[in-house]
Amino acid sequence: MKDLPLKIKILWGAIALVTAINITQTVTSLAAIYPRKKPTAFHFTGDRLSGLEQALKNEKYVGYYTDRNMDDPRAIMELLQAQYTVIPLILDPQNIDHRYIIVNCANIPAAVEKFKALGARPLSGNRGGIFLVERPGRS
Amino acid sequence: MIYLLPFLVSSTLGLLIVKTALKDRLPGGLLTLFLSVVIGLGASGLLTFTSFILFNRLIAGYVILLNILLGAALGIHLKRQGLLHLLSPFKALTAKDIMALCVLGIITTAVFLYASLYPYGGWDAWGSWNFKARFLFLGGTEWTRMFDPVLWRNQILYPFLLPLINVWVWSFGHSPTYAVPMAMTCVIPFLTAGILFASLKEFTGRGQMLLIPLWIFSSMFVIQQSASQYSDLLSGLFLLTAMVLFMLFQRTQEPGHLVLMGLVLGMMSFTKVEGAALCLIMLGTTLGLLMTSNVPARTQRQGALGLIAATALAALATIVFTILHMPKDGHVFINGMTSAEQPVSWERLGVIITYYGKELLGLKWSGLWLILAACLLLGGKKSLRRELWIFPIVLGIYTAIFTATYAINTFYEIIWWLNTSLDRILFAVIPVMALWAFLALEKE
Repeated sequence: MKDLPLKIKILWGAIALVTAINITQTVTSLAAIYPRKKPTAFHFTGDRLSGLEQALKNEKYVGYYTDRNMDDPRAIMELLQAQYTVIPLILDPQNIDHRYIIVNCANIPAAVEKFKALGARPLSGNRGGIFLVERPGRS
Repeated sequence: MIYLLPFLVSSTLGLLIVKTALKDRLPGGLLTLFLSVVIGLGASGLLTFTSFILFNRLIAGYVILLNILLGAALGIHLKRQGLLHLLSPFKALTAKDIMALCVLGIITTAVFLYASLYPYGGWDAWGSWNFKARFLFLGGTEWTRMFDPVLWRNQILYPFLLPLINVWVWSFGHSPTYAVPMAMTCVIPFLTAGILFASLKEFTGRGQMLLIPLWIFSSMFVIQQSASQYSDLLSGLFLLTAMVLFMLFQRTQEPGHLVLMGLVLGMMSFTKVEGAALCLIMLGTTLGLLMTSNVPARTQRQGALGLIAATALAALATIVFTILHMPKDGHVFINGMTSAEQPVSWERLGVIITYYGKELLGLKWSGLWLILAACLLLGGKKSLRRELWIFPIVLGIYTAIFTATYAINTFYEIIWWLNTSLDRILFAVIPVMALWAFLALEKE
């Protein structure tokens, strides 16, 4: 350090100061969010569909219906998290022509109404508001 | 514990590759070790892809055996040359190096703490990168269905070296546990910080360079980005590694560095579309600088051939993916130059440039870009001396290309697109910018 010009020594001092501030802020932030966030951090839509890929291992595509607007980031997030979990099944968004359909509605009555309208029967119970339904006669 | 094995196998393979290329002209122990781990992990990821090319599915036993056989072949080759001293980089480590590793471990701890809050990573982790990893691992012979057009929201156009590296690690177990991508998102920043420190120390001889990765990775925003499980981490690491190897070549004129650089460039091309662009930019720039340098003609020829051949070899995966698997219509491109409905406009370009300014000065970066700019300004002419030319050329062309992409592809609403992608692009180039900035402060 001794061989460095003064302006570069000042620069190093500034970097050391910013590092100290960063560390303080980071430690404070982590301490603040860690206990609060941990219990809910594992909330993942896909977890509610775990095991579906085994139950439907002879299928390639499963319909995915939601009554949410598909331009809504939350709706896309739920779709992508569901898709992540059921791999190698492929979810076909808003296509109800498949034999099996995942119905993910804003509330349970809306979901029940939808699969009744489809003439479908629920195969699995309510998975936190998400239902797997079958449309008999479809291949 | 079983998942430590793939890291051990990859690191050993990487060390053997580095020793084969450089023989006894290795850089310092710490830098050699970090280079070995990076190259080894990339090589293992590419070797995993051969299982999909040859058998159309993942065969874990084959992948593990291939890694071991390649390592054994290189080991025998080195043994015959009397160069098989695998512990030599470890023996070269000093007590200060060990202490530096401990300090760098603190960075990993902070990333781990944050990553453990979001074990599935950020949006693109489950939406794209880990989606691909799971498809590769679980898809059997139907793994190519991950390119189904129905899945266009999963960024199916993107290459997938990071997913392959995760699949490589999963190959030692039975299930695609989320713990592996989560661990990888801690390992990659550690390697990035390590290469940055080790290379700065190598080129300047200053131990206080340890402050640089500590400064960068102590920022909360950088920790958040590091814990994202995104492929930008990997492309940033490969970009830094390739730059370091070029700097080592300029110092030693050992063509083996360019062979390793070529391997790293090929690997980088399979990380992201941006990685492929950077690979081509760096390849062209390196060849241009090499051919116009004072390096002896024989070394120029050897270096250029080694660089091109190694890049082509490591980029085979990218070539196969591009020709055979990449969907032709990814649903995410509208050419604003020809589209009447969504044409490109000067206003759009203005929005982009203004956004760049706001982003770089944003509080979330904790003054990082301002300090890097101050370093380059204080460096003055030294920032642009010939041995550092590769930095402004590559970063300049890259900036022009991604700016043109933002402007011309009018599929996305521009503010949303910049909001969701620019910070990641900037994040990936921070280590290289830091290397340039702090070398610029040194005497020629």
